[in-house]
Amino acid sequence: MNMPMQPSARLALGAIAVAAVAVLSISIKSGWPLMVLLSMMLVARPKWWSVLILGFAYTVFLNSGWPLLGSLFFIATCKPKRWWPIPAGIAFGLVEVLSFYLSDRPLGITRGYTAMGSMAEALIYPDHANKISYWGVYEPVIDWTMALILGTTIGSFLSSRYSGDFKLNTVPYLWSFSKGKSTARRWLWAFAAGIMMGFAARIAGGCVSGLLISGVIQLAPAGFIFMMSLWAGGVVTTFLFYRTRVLAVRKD
Amino acid sequence: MIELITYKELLGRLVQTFDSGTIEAVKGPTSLYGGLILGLLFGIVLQKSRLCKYDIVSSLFRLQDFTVFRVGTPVLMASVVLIFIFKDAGIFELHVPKTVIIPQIIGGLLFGAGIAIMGYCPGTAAGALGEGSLDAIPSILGMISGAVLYAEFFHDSWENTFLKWGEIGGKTFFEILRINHWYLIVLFLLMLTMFLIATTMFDLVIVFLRKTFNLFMDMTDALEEKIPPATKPYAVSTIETVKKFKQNLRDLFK
Repeated sequence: MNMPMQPSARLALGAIAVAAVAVLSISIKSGWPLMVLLSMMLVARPKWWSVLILGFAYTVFLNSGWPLLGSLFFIATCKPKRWWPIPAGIAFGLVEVLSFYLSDRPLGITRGYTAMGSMAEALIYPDHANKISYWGVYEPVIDWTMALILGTTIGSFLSSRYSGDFKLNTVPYLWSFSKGKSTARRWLWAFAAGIMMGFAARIAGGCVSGLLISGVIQLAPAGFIFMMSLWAGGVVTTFLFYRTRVLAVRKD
Repeated sequence: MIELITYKELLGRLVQTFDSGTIEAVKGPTSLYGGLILGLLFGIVLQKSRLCKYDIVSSLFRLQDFTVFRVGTPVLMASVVLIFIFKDAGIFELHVPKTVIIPQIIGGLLFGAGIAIMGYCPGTAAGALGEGSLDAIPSILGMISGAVLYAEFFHDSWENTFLKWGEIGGKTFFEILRINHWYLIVLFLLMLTMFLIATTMFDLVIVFLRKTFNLFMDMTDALEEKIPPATKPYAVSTIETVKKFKQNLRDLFK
């Protein structure tokens, strides 16, 4: 968006893009490419009227009133950068219950990552992937959980872009405070911690959303055990890993 | 010719667009659209409660800022009540995760160590990627490779040994104790309320100590967004809104 470009050139580029997408749309006999292009309007100009136009377009396209209702809801509630913790928590709980009602399963994210690993292996080395017994449980298929991950990313992006909270950064503020501003270091640590976390989630059989929250709200012992040990492990590791500058930070 | 319709018919048509068929179409554990819709809502809620920021999660484990607890406690309170009401009404059934004590303790410790270093849990890593924190990319790649590592080298040898230590199965507390679940829920709600009050008060105590004695140096102060007082961008008058709208239209078709 910030590229220095003449308005006429920009217009020509836009016209070419629209024409290409329209041709694609007609050739595969589906309106989805055009709708995705229209959704880009929200990315370019995150204002209330563009959300409304988009909701109306989807309502006409899908012949259902839900997108319009959803866009009105989005306009009304998502402008502030944050919600107060307790209303936000209640909304979170409603999403959890909606997941039980709509999809007949608790919200669980890690299953999607595992299936992605299975899929990557099946694409690269299919003969070997067939021999692994664990991939019988996590079949290399695009399923509900991957759609959930994609939806989480899109939803977070829309919400942050609409409220003006979207900011590209490679190193979080607090990390640079205690561990330095090196991007490579942060990314390497994140990768190592990610390996540990994926491994741990497979041992325990779920992650925070799939085991902790869904376990606790169904009063299963699994959720409580996982919650306590997660808390203990997190605090101990924080005090070992960030060592000195944990509580007393020198103010410049 | 234009036919005029009564408002009742208009309302009827409007209601028809919200027919239950659209909900039935996205229902079920395999529907991709259902997953996408739930994911959108989940992402919006995570972003608005600021859970997908490294700073918030990490300062929870540094015992500086309990936003995660103040969000998480109402989640548990609201959903535990609603889920058991719906379960008693027979609208849906429970999907209880299996309990295996030893692996879950060890897995929880490792998972907590991962969160402490990484600052994201699997759900919030996806949300953080949408929010623009690019360090979620190596985190997600790491989680995928961790799962592959487990499946490749450990699952076959651990399946019947380590993963069976202390197995209880998919049972809940009220099935083990054989009492009505509402007693437990009321007890649980009371505990959570106490916990919520305690964390809120602890937050206030930290703020008080910081303001008065200059203890607990400003780690959390920097995390709060600098909202300019009085003139908020989302509380403007109608005329200004119309002006802005015109300006936006002009910008769009420039």
